[in-house]
Amino acid sequence: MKPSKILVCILATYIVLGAVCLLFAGRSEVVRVPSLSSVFADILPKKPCATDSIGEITDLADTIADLSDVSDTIPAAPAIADTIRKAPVELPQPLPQGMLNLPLFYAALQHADKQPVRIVHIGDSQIEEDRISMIIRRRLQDKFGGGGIGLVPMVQTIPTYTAAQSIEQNGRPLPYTYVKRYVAYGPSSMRIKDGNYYGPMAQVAYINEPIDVSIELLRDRVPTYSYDMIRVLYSDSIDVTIIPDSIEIGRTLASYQTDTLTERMRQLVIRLDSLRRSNLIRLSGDGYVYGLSLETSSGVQVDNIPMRGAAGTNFTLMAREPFTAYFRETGTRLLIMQFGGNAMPSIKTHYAVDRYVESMRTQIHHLLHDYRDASLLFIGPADMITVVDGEQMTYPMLPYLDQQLQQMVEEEGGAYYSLFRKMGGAGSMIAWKEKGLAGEDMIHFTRAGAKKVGEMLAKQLIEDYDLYVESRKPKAENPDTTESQPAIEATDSIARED
Amino acid sequence: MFDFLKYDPTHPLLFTQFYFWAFFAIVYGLFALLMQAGGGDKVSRSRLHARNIYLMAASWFFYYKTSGIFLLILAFITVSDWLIGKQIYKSQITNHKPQIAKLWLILSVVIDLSLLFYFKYAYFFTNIFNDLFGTEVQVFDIFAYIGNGFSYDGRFMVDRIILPVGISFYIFQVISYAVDIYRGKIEPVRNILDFGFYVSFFPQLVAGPIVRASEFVPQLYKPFFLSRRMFGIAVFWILNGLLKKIILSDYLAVNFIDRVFQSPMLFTGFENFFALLTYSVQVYADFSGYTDIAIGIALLMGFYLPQNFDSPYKSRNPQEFWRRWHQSLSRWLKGYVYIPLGGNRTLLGRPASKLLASNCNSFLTMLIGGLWHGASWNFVIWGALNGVGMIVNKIWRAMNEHLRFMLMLTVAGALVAARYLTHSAYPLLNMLEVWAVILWIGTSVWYVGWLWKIGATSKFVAWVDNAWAIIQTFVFISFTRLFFRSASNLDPATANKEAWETAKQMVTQIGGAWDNSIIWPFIQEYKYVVLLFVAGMTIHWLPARFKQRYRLAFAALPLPVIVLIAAATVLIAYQFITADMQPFIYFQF
Repeated sequence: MKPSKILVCILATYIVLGAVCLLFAGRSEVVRVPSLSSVFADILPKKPCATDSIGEITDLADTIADLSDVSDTIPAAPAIADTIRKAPVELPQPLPQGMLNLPLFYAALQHADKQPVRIVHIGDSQIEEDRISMIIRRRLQDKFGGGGIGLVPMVQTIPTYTAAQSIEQNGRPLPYTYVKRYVAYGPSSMRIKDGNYYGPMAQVAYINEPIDVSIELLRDRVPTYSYDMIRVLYSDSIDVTIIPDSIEIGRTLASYQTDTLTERMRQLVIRLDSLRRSNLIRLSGDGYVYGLSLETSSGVQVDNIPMRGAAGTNFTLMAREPFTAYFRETGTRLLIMQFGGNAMPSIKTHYAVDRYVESMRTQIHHLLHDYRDASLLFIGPADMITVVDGEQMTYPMLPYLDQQLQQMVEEEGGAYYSLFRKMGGAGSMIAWKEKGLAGEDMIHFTRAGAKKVGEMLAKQLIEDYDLYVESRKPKAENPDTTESQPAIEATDSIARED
Repeated sequence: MFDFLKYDPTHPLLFTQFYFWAFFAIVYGLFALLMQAGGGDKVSRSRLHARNIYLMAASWFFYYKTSGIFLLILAFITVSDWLIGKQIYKSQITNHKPQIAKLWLILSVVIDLSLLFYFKYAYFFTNIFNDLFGTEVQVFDIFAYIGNGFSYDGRFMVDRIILPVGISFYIFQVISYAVDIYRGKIEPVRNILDFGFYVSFFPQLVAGPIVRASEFVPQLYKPFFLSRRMFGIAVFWILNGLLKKIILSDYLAVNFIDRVFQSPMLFTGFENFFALLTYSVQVYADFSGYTDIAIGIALLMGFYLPQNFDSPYKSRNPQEFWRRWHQSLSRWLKGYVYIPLGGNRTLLGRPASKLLASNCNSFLTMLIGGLWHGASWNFVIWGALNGVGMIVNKIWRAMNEHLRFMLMLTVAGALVAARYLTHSAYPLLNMLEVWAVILWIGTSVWYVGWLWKIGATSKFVAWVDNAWAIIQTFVFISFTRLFFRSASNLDPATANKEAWETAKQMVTQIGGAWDNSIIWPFIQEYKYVVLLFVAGMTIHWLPARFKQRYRLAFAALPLPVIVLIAAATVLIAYQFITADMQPFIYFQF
């Protein structure tokens, strides 16, 4: 065959395709045909991504101190006393403009050396593996003290970067499926059949024979400070033993305390004689275990509660009491909710957004109805990419959802952190992916991306706290400023950063 | 206005993009003019020379669009190896000074490998150095530093070495050129521009096949010829490659495999295991699809590139697999690594038994082959596993049935005991135990059949035996890829750590407890992924003769029908490019 004839065949193919594009582009939803302009757009250089802030974000973590090691020099914690439950709550006062509206949290942080400040971070799969929470925890513990990893389920099905956790029996490791678990956000087969009492982790383990839980804090990724207190949340007829110390509860342990938190949930708080990085906890009897917490009796504690696949709308399906009791008992001063991503794929209209946002309002009411001593921080969904007519783009309703969530959270007196906008807005997930910060699905962050998000949040919380402290200093300490200047200065400084 | 002609790192020239096909149409248009003008089929030597120069220029533009300033490296090794090739030939043949020829050859290999090591292995060896001596040495890009001396804005980053696209392929290609001249297999290419064309021919420049000079250089001086049937075959390869690449490879990768390898802990043991198997289909479809397109495009211009894949998942053992997989690399490694190492005659330069020399040299070759694929320990482990697999299989085949049965009984028994004694605490041990028990069952069935001579002449038994061997080989190869894929697409600065962690997590999940109840829901939710996997394997396992028959049938179709089928194929592929992404579904809570 002559090259000219081959060329004719090649051109004929292009012409047929061109004609199909010209005649049928956008006509059918079943067979997608691109428009000619979109085909030729492939030749032209791509427009830069919507965000320029990605560079700033990428550099952010490098400017912060190294996370590679921790020293076990946490100040000796005071004896377990009612201090945990009776942390003073400062009345909300106007905050400098631009800060996250978390007055109860900032106020509590000022006394973190004396009373523990609990942060409960509840979210979807973005926070699995303790990814984002561990950075917040570490940064705040660096500044305000505290140790441990906070609340963990009895059976950890999704290993975290901060602790190695397993279950065993007589020294023999058991698969996690050995223990029956009920999960509020899982499939119907994993739900409690005759009730809705899941506890503060939205999951509960049922045991009827002795099971040992082995937990060891890890050092390799983001080392966590050691703990000197263990808290166990369980139902009646469960016995707890700490091994290898042979501290048998009720017999030889000097410093322990049991409480009935609700009708169905009890708590055992064990004060250890020294800082620890690992323990074996034996649970026996016939009943439910709602969670274990490794913590210190002062400083900051951060719980990581991931609810895989959840849109955040199922709290109302769970009993409120265990949440309230847990918040109250641990002195929770900040509730972080991070949801929205799992709702996005099914949201196609403004109406659907409004319904989802109202549902989230109901969830917030449900969680904080009987507990008003915590500030609320709602972290909105990250940018998420879908494919529309072959083009990768942000879910069309995501910007509206982000905006409506912010409005709702602020109406409820909480603070809203728009991760979507902080990332750079629509299309930024593509840039994050190109920088190795987001996964191939362009929905989840990579380990590095989650670290960046954690750093961004921690940085904001710490800077806002510093501003808060500054704004509350007596005026005499700042002779260069006039009466109204601190707030204005703070506002300006934030505006400049934005 | 002419920005689209400039290098854009975010927009490389890929076979799956319209840009490439527009580029190809223009290149082919001028190519056809050049071949047609005044000469017909009798094309003069000067016209062939002009064609070669023209295609080299097009190839250099292709490489510039893909790799930017790294075109200079391509230009450098073209000049360097062309000059040295001439000196090797002159010393060897004209002056009869083999020692001098050898020195020239060494110089050529040192230059080529230095470039490859610098760009590809700088991080790897720096990390090893730091680990050994506790230092914190950082890489420093001397070329960027020099480049900044010439640029007014210091535009090059000195603290980062970027890997030029395709360097592993074209470096191996020029090494084969120098060695073949030294061995007297070929004469040096007379004209540097012809040589430049051989080194940079765009269809195979960035992903092979690795073309030896002896295979390609003679084609530089042959006039264009393409039969009507070969035209049909060329189109078939292009369309086949596009469908493989877009449907099988890209869809499976984006919607399932990449997600699992990104975060293995988010997925169950079964999902991780299925991702491994699916990755085998994906990597084959991706690589062979790209090669199919390269072969088809080259054919349209009258050049024959060697076959690179021969249904590798039909292999009965690892040796056969490596004869069928990435054949141009396997041939290269055999010719330029395994044989120089001593082949089956010598070991480290000393005479050794055939078995020892052959196995040790095979193992070393696989290690080097592993490292060629990427610069991290995971690739070395991957190469080593393949090497061990080949040796073990060779020894296995040399055993009689009694010995095989006893060996499997011992291995499976030992692993079961080890698992019991260690309370299943080691996922890798659990995986090996399951696999050993499966192998033991298969061996036992075969052993019983052999003892009582059941079905010795049965075609069905032979078929089952064949299927068993193929599936075992497929699973083994897929397992080794756990280390390969974990190390792919990573930042070289952190590749070792990340790759090892991902591999460890996958082993943890696969070797941990499986919840079998999720398998059926998984199949339902990921039905397109599962269907594509099944379809890919089914097509792959179709008999070669059947495949050849439909290829020839396609090639014999009237030209207008071929054109319409080509257009339809592109539209089908487009449906997959634009398909909705598989929603994220969790099976483990």
